Amino acid sequence: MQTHNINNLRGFWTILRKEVIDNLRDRRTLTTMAVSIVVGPLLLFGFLWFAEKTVKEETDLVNAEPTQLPVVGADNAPNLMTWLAQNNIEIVAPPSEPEQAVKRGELRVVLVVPENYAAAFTAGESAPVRLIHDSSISGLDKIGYRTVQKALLTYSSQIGSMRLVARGVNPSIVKAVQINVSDVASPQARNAQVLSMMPYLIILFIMVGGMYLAIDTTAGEREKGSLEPLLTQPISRSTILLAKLGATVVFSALTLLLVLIGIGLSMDYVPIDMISLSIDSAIIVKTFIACLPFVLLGSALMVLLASFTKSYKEAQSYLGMMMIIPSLPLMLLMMMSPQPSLSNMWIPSFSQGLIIIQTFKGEDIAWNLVALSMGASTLLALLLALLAVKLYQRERILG
Amino acid sequence: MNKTFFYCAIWLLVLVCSSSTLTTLHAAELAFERCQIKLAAVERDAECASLLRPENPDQPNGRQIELFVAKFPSTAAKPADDAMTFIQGGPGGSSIDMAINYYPIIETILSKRDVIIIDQRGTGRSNELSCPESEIEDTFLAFDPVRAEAELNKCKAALSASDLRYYTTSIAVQDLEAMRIAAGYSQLTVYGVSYGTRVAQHYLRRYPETTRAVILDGVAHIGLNLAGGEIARQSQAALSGVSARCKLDTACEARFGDVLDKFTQLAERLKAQPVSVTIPDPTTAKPVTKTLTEQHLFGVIRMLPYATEGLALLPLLVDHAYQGDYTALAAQYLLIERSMTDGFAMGMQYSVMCAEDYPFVNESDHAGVEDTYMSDAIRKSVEVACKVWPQGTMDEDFRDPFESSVPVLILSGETDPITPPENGERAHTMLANSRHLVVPAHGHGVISRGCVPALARDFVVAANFEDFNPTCIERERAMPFFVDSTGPKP
Repeated sequence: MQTHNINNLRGFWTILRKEVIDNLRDRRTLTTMAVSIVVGPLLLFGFLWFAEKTVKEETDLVNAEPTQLPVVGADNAPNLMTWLAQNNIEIVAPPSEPEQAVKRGELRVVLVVPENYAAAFTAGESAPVRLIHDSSISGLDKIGYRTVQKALLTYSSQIGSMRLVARGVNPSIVKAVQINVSDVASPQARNAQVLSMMPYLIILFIMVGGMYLAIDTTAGEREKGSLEPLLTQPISRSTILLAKLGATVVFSALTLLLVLIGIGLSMDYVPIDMISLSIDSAIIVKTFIACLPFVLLGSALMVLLASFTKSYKEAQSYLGMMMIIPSLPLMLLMMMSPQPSLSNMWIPSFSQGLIIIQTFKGEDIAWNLVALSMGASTLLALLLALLAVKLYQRERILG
Repeated sequence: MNKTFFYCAIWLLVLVCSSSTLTTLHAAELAFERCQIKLAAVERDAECASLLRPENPDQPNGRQIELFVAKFPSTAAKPADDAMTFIQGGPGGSSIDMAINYYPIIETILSKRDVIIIDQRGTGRSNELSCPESEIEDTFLAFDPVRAEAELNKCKAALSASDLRYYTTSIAVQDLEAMRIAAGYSQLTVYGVSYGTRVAQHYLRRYPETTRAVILDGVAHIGLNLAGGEIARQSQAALSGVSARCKLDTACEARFGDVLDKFTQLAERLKAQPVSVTIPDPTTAKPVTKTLTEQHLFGVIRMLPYATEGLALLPLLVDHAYQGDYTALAAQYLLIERSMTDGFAMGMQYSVMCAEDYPFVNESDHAGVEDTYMSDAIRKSVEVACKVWPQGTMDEDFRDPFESSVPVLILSGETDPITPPENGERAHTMLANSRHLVVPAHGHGVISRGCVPALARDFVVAANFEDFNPTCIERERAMPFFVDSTGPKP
């Protein structure tokens, strides 16, 4: 029994080392790791940088191209047109059928100044204008509409205030309540947008980091026909499986660490105004340790699933689909932004996501909640590993 | 394998770690605490601290005054180690009050660096030298030197705890530098408006090494004497300018004709026979009775052209009063009077003016004053004030031109009724590395107008003029003249 154990332990390390070295020679694995440290953060920040740059180019008053605004009845309100031009809005000739043109997507917004504008304006009444737009348009194409709307609102309130002054009334009396706001969030926590994307990025890379190995060492071996000779070795099947799982865990964990370091480093250098996060080594170490149980869980899940499949291709498509499982709790997390509690910290991926957000914010989580997250995920990982071991005990594993 | 992996990880972690520890700022002396700074109903989150400074800089252990400092921390993870500061005009205005109003502009600076603001000694929250409420009504009826002197003595007595000689620009820039050092910033980017440009320029002269860049908005150029005939002449020029512009505008000319002529007739009428009017108070709507003299008219006409919106209302206000409807004029007077007494520390203004301007006034400074609507009213009141007020000292080179290669962005409003674009041009000639922008159609202080906030933001980020493209200011247009109480032409 003693010898058997030593053999098993030695066998475990032999297989683990072999798998790790094999995989390091594999370009796919190296690519995945390179991606995790460089491309991951690059994708995230590239996206944010692009978004920020585009919005700035569209709205920045210094260099932005004028917003083109077709106006029907521009002659009815020449001073209003001057105001719009002053706000970097270029008045252009209207189409013959404004509503159709907007509906067809040829134009984003058209302003209609009706005949009765001038009469109402000079009578001191509210002078009507109409903005034709398509509410199904969202995102950057909405900027022009907003620019026009804002310019019109400013004009309206400015003329309104001056009408009061002309009548001897203090214009500030119409502002009955002054709403002051106090923000209690720390500077780190104000990066809500980036923070909410972090769990996705990190959890996804944990899975991707171990995926190829999980497939290769089970379905891959089976497809190559090398599983059979391996199983005939004088090592218990559970040891073989655990060694393979171990190798998967190593790569998953390595990818996690690289992603964290990549994010940490890039935070120092990203030229994006909307991000002001500082992620130091302490945060990286904390996050890494807290996420390790999920590394176990993810690896066990992938190895188990890959064991069911017959070929590399099949495994790949199943595992790809499986990525949705850890993503679902994260989507929930994004929508609710809950506080960590006993009722939610047992949920795998959800709880890690919470830990990532809180730790990046620089806020502490109670140790028992972290323990709950780590314990629950580890327990589930062990169960899945046990299931995989049981599966390997069957002859059918050879397919 | 495992070993290699760990070494690699540790090495990478050190990089992360070292890059974050390198930029740690040295400990600052100012103890900042979270606070809300207030201006009437408006409140802003900030960090506040007080800076203790000797009232008399030559006696470091003498009487100490507390100067109020407010900081808006940058939103950057690693802010620049310099900061930007804003200086209000007057003299006597509170820079922190201005910052509360200018917050949207300040916010654009915060993405890269902190903004730190001090209420200049004698203003706002820093030992404000405000005079007890005087009977302004009387001083406007007719200037009476005896009564004015009594008022000033009353004010001086009320401020007797302070030595009024030590509230000059020369000492204020020392406070500014002390604040920079105490807050631990390597340099300051200085924005000054109106009289604040005098402070900013003197800071640049005294501390060129720690001045990163300067924005001068509505320039009081070096050597400009505010105690001479300058205000009277510029105010007259502004009024004549409005009248001329109205004549060029078809709608305005058809409706009002010669605004200057109506104004002159109205002033003569009010001088001969002051008018008593009862109007609903502009804010509370309770009936308030006011005796209007030509001095009240002058007060309103002087202040309206400061902003293009006021300028747009000027012909209408003059015309209504000319026709015998004084409501808008009286209401406007009340609003201006209240904002002046609330917003400016007159004692500090006297300390500055009586040390830095009044002693250097000569007859040529008064040239042409007789031809202005204010005539010599300001001259007389300044003379009385500076006879009573203790005269402080200033740095020897205070009024001399100086050279500097620090980047300076100079802003002028085309129709500024007090610091016209010629002032900006003079500053531009003196400062080698400067750009002068004249913003069309606008009045005094243009930082919040059109694309100027974005230009200022870009200039503060770059601190040079390499990619500086100010063509966007050409879009600015004057607010069209109101032709009746409902507004301009549609």
